[in-house]
Amino acid sequence: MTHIFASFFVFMFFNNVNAELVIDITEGNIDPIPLAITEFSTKDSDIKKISQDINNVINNNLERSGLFKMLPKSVLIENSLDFNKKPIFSNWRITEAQGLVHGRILMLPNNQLRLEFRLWDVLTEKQLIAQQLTTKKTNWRRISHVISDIIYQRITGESGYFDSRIVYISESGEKKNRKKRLAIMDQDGANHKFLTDGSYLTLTPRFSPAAQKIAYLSYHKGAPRVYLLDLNTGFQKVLGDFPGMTFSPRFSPNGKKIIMSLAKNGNSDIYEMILKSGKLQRLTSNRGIDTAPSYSPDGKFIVFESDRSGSQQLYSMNLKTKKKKRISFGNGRYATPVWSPRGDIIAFTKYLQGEFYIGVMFTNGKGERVVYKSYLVEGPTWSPNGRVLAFYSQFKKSKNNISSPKIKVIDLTGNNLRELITPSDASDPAWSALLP
Amino acid sequence: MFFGFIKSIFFHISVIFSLFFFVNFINLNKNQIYTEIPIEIVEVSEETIVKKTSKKRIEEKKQTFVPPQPKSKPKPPEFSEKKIVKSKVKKKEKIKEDRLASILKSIENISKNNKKIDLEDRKETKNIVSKISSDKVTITEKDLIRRQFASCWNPPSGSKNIDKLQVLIKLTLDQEGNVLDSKLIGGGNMNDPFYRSAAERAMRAVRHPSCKKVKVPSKKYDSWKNMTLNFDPIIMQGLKK
Repeated sequence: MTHIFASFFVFMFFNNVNAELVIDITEGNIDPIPLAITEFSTKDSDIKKISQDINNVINNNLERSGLFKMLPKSVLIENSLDFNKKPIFSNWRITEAQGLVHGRILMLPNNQLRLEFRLWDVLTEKQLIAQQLTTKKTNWRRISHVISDIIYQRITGESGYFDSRIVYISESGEKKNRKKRLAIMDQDGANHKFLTDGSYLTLTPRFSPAAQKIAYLSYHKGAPRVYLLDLNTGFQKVLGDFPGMTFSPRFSPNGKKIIMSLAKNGNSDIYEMILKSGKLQRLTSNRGIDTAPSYSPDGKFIVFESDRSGSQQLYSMNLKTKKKKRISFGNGRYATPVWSPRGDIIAFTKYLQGEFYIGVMFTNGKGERVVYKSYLVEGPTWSPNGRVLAFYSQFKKSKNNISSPKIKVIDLTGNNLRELITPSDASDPAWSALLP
Repeated sequence: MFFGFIKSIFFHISVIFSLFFFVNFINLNKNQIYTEIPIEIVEVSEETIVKKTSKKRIEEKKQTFVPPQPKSKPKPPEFSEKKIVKSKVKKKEKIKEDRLASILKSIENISKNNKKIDLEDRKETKNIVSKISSDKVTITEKDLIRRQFASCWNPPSGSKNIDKLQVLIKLTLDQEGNVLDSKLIGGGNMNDPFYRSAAERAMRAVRHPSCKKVKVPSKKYDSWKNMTLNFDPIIMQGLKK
């Protein structure tokens, strides 16, 4: 009997020993991925400058994302590669590059450009993507954003966000006579344009999902109202003429409805309006102040702030069952929740012990995390891929000296904080979806 | 006078003897007391180490006194009824002596055999264990490999559904630790762009110039010639659900 046990023990031991070695890698290197982009080759000397510009825009986009380290031209082994030849990867590995992009530009009739590019994985020596794009010569900047998005998506797995725009409130003038204008620009700050002249106050602009319309709060004609501006036509109209004040507008994911707050007799509740018919439906009816609603990407839920429990907290609501659930339970006052386009996270503003925070949490309220804090931070908005947050902030220079508001962007992990350069002070940013 | 002197000598000698024995007696008791304590301590300390052997000894003893031992049964032919009938009283005594002797012999044989087997078993197990302990990759060695790959791996931090982005890669190494082959295993969905990106990140890690030669203990080739790397970004992620 003892021998049986002994042999069993020995067998088990050997069996265990012969099991393959398994190593769990649970830590990694979060440094940006080194990427080399060579200038797109061209035979036409006229478009040599465009090729350089395209190269610069792509490099800047990917570098700004914080996820890539763009190798400088001085490090690149060859500044331009033959499009139809496989690169010599052993040479490129010396540069530390893990990804390599090269391409060519052809001039077509009618001022059209044809861009072809390849993305290679230098370490596995595999082609990750090869695409051909055609556009007008004048549209070179947009095509650069599109190529940036393709590279970003292929390497990270997430859709890109470079071919998008940001609308915001441009602020100028003295404190007592502050001019607030609606302005729009590409996500990298290019193509800046003012949409209103500043003769009346504008606040909280929001993009429609197709990024062609903007809903915003305006004091045009004295009373605060939600207006709708069509970017293509420049035409704007007031959204319903209600007895109370309307504010905090936001489009539904399909763009057919708008959700907003309507204040009547000192009480604020959330209403949903069908844009086509103008029909209004009340979603909350509570004595507390319910405001700042935001749709989930599938349009089935909303998240909003309310002081119904005594303190300002976040609530989610199933639009079908109308059931509401409190999701924030931490210390401080929670406000301006925004559902991520990715659907898994909600960004919010929090006020606690004299400081403001920008935070993120899962849609069930768990995993709350602060990504930025300052004297004043407000108005978080998501990039179209739900990876980056933009907001505006002010910091205390001294006891009575507060900095002017500026738009900042940060990765949802809390890394890669950058300021968005605008012609003047800026607040209330709203990020569009990817342009159609 | 002389008689008295002899008497006193005897008396003194007897007193000295009695005193000597008494002191010795006391000393013996003391020694016994002193010796008992260290023995107890030794026993306690040995119990924790050689507990199994003491049990085995008990088992051995038990075995020796168990009559239905397969080897002891056929040994004594003197147990046969025929011989008992034929034999006389003297013979009976002799037989009894023989019986005892044979039983003792058989017991000795059994115990010797058992001891031999046990020793052989122990030797065998000792050899295996020593072989195993020398061949097995230690925690420190594993940690070295882990740290090497951690420096080469760019995890998909901040990605959606990070808990589903675990990637397993099987490596085949040559005797110097160079990666000969790397295969993606585990059957993740490569149509999911997030998983595909995570898988490609892991593949890039094993092809990274700093990780092409794995820091493995050279003498334990059989233990690491095939190894599986489990790239799991969930612990790194601050947004764990």
